[in-house]
Amino acid sequence: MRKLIMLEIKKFQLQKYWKNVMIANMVAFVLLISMNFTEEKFADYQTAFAAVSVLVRAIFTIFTAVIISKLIIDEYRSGSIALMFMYPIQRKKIILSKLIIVAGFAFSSIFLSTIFVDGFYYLANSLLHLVPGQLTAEVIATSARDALVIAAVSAGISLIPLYFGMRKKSVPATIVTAVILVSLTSSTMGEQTAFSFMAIPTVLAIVGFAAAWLSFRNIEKADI
Amino acid sequence: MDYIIKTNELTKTYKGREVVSRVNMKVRKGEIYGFLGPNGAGKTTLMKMLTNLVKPTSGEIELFGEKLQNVSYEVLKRMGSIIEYPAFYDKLTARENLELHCEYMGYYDSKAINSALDLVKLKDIEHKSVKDFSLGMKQRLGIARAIITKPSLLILDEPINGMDPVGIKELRDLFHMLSREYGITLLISSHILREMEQIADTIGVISGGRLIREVSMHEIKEQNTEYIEVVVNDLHKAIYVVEEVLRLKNFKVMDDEKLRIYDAGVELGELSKELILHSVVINGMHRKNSSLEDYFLNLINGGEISA
Repeated sequence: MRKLIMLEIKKFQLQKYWKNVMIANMVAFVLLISMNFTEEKFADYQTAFAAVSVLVRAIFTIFTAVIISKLIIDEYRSGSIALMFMYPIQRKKIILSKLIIVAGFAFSSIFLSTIFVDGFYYLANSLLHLVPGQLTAEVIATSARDALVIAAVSAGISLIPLYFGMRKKSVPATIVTAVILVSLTSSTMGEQTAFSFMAIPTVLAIVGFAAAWLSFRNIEKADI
Repeated sequence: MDYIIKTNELTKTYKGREVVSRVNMKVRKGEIYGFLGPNGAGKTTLMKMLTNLVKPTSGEIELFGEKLQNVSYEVLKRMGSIIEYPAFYDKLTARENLELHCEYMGYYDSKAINSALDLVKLKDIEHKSVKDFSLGMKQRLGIARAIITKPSLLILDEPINGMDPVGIKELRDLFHMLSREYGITLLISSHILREMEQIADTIGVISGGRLIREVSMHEIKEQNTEYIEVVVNDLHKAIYVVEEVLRLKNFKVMDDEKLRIYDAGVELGELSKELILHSVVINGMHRKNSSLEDYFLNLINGGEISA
């Protein structure tokens, strides 16, 4: 499996994607700083980090949909999946290696980017004094814990677009589903988003894994 | 093991329509088997079933004497193929594509890539990504990829598509070499009769999803010799002339005024002179080479009528 994952990365030159990830982080950071100059300023580190979390999650859920399109939908569209399925390797292993990359990307990009942007925000704040108060150990601890949980459930949620994309092997369907998901789960109702109640994202994450399973449950018997 | 590929009543139905219908085909070890049929005859679907991409609705496939099942993965190691069109990872170079292929096939021989590229005569492509290749070059690269792991069975769907005449000639030689020198069994599909005629040892004619005829080229060539066709006013007299005067035995009465003479070495001048001397009016006379084209068109058209 490790080898299959490495080959997928090599095949799609995914190692080049870290640049795009950094650009996305920069965009998130700039957006965040600019929010300080609107009327709704962040009251403290806690609210600022909450905003980081929402932003990063939104950006990388859509980014993950792009990865899904590249790794899975495009293979079907270009016909190269037929080539893959003529190799002496179980189809489900090939698909699983792709899904691991997708979910792994969603998890690590969201977790690491949250920490990265949080860190940058802290540095910027020490120079620009955007929010009052101290960054307490408690805030760091809760932010880190939240980032980990959110990244984990987001990895599951990121798989939902796969189901809609696979139905007609459509890249737009994949991306649009991701955008809809993001706007549904990030829109605020007062201070709350769907992520304020862990039950909702957890259910969505389970739906995501179920969607992946549904999309490929018959893969060994399917006509290509 | 006599047959590398053997199917038994192989059928595939898509939405109630039989795309491949009760096909019983047999491909011998080491031969070049040509699938001949018009577009949409079911050639690609058949080949997809043989490579386990498409699962049969009913019937069975035996490859190398073993029944092909959903989980038959090991047998794929012994096969090389191009199905529909050669798909590549466009942003990678030819060499990178071949390297990936070897990794997935579990085949490690650093010299294999160069020798495969040499065999298909692909040159000066080192730093070019595949998206800049012409269709002909992609075909060559696809064939290189199919043969790189030295498979026992090659399945090539329309391999000469998009090739120029020189390229086609080169491929033909390559296919013959693979078959004769390496003992590789080849299954090649095409709708171009001229090419099949020159490449294949056995031809399977497929039309409307059914295998109409499986016949060796050797047999066809024997069946289809030259003849002279004469149209006369008086058939009885003409037969007398042919039989008694010219002493020819191998002829056939086609209808009440048409005669075909199959004996070799009959001169048109001699024949017409004798006929006229016996006051037979000749309404037409020509030497014909009943071409393979006629033979196959008959088969295919006949197949469509009875379908």
